[in-house]
Amino acid sequence: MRSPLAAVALLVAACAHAPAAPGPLWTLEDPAGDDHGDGDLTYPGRGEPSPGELDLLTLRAFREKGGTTLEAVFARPVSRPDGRLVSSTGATLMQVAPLGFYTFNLDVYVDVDRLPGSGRTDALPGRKIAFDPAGAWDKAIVLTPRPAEARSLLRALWKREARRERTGRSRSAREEEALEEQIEQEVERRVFFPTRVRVSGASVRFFVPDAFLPGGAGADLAYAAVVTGADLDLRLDVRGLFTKDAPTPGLFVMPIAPGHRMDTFGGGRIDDPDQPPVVDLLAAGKQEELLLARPAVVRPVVPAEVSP
Amino acid sequence: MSKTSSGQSVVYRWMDSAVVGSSDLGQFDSFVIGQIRYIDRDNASGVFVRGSGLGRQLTWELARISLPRLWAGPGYSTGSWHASDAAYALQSKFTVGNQLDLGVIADYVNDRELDPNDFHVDNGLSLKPRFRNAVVGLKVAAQGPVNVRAAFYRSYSKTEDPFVNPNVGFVGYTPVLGGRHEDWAGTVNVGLPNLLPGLAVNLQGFRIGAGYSSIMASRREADVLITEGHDATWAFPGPSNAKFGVFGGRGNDTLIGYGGWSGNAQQVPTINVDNEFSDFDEPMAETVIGWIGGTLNPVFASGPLELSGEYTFVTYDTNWQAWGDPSKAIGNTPYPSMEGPVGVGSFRSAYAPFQDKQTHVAAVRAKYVVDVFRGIDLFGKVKYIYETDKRLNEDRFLPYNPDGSVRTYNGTNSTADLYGDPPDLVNPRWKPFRSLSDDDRTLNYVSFNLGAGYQLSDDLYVSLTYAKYLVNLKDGNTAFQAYNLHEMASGDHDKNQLILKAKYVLAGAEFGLEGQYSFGTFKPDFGSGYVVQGASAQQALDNGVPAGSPGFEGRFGGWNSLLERNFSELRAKAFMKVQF
Repeated sequence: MRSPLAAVALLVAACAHAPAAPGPLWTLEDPAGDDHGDGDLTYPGRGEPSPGELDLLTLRAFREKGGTTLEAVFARPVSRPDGRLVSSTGATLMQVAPLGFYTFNLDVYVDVDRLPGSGRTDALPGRKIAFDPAGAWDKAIVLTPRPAEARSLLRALWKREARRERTGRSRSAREEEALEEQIEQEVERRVFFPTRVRVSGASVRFFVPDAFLPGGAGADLAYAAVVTGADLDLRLDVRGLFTKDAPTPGLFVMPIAPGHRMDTFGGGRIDDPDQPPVVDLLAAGKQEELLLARPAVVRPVVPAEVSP
Repeated sequence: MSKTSSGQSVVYRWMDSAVVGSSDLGQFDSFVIGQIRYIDRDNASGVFVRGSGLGRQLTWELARISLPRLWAGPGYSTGSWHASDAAYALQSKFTVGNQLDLGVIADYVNDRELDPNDFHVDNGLSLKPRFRNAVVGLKVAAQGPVNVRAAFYRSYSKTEDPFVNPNVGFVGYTPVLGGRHEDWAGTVNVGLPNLLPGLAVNLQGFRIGAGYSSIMASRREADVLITEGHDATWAFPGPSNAKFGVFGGRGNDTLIGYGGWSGNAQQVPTINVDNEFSDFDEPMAETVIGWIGGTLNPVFASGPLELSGEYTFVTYDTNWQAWGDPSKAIGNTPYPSMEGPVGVGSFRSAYAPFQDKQTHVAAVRAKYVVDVFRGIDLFGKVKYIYETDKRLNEDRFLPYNPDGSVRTYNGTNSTADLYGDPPDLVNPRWKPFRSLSDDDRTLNYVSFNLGAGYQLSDDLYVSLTYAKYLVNLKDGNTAFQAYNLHEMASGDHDKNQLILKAKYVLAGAEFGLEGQYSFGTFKPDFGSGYVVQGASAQQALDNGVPAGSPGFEGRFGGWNSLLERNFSELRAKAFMKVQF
């Protein structure tokens, strides 16, 4: 048994000689214990995720060759997907969520140009928050357990939104094609779903290439981080197929509902379908007040203005 | 009725929610009450009441679960009286900040029957227990620079006369132990997430006692150990994944096919393992009853490269002679052996009459993303298993004395009942069992796989994997005969698999395709000390070999061929999933 042990020892030794990581470009801190949305959100009774697991404490950026690595640190170790079956197709949790986490989505909205009125003011579908036009976002980095499916679904949902805005206006097949092309480009240009992800204890690091964020994630840009629970199921929106004004479904977001729930977040407000299912929010202002307002309007923060 | 400020009735303020109906039991604990496959025909039903206190730092749940009739009791049954059969459960968790979690869980299973001796029916019929099972678990988890999780479980189980015979026999198929048993199980996990830059190390120690029994523990859907364990392509004892294949004919051929199940096995803390009603592309569960050992699992990541390794050592609480009780006959045991731990793999066989076994597992896995186009995922793994089992290792248990007379190990009983001599000792049909090494097992197992995956478009992901398994197995000789019940698997196995997977997403619908081509060879090596025979016409017919081809006929008339075997299997699965 010497050779396998030697191989493991070699692996450990190789790691020991890895170069030390450079310091962060910037750090944003978020209070501990605020993973309660507007103040009353409770975690699912099933225990997945468990309290603290979606409590974002720190968001950091590190410069790397060809891009930026962002690191999010939570209050508790991130739950790792295991081999349990989660689909009638025979797929295991590890196969459905291959990046090493499955309980949360972390959206990082970036206001690159910091020009008032420039950028999008709507968050990704299902977050139920909006952005202050003064801090409208230009790019979003969406760390989600099913990046390919999320990207595909986002494309479909934004197309639906675009068609809805054009309701009553006839258009040719060529115009429809152009619309689709425009949405494709919008997704490509605006939203990045990281796939180079490393989960270690309570931290998750993910790589954002310069091709998406030219110049990297500098301290002079403005950022807002939104943590939601992940719903891994891809669902067909039947209402959306038949009804033009059907509400847009969420992008793999675990909903919030009143009472104590087994499989969704509880503590939701009664008769409030617009309540954001946001668990933790790193943005300018007091989280609870922002999430209680309707619409819940968020403004990114600039690390250079926050960090000492 | 008075109400609280939140509108909740004061009468119900003590609880957060109540469910009367079905549940997949995923909120409990794999060692005590495991998650039940949600598409299972045996979904559990019951009453579940949950509550909390101290600002939800303390949570609790009480449940009464109706016992699933098709597997939750002796003989995979809860008998004929079901109305009062239930598992009663309590679990509670106390959280101290984000640093410390404390948990307790307990269940009590009571399977009762009408008293067959109650003839005084004027006051109704009495009930008597058929099977009782109680488990208590304590858990603690501490988070920080070092993450520690520990869990301890104590179990009690008892089958009752006259409903259940405590002797399950030499080939017992039942998910519970006969008679009364107490034992414990425990795991300790230590995680060092930032040991060195890019390096995390996970450690696990485990012990699951031979007598640990929780009928409601996870049968699959769980993986309680961090080790990969064995590979799922080797599911049943025979070289083709057949059980009782030595007897040939329909019904004794392979159920899952030569390719077995996919990937490595998941470890579940029960002998009530369930791999039924599953497809070949799903994982396989294996029992870890009796396992004692530890795992070291370093994980290193740097840029697009991720490397992880594993070394696991396992010894067994089931290492014993004569089922751990030499006062009885070999055929009299409370331990169900199912197929028996023979062949390259046997997923649910925790017990054998004679065992002196150790297992070493070492593996290195790598993933790398090549930064071209959308990024090509490369992945690979090398795995080595070295397993030894001396099985019968004391002279007193040998079936015969040097002079050929039957040897008894307790003055009455002999293993000659199991390892009888051939009728003709001059030209023996199989080797007479005379040496302690006749049943020795040594497994030298190497597997590797290499694959690539690519996101062809936002909607389509395709991967191709090649896996190879090279196994040299000495699993006793013709004196042992795989406990007389299975095809012997001693020899060299060379199994190969080509696996193509595609996944497509379209407007909320998922489409999947998996195709597998498995092919390989088995070169038997059954040792010496016997006279090779030619297959009779009937043996040839039953076993699919040419008449007159070499082999030997076993104690129970089964035929083991000495011909090299060639395998090939092509299988595919396609699915569409639409969820509303």
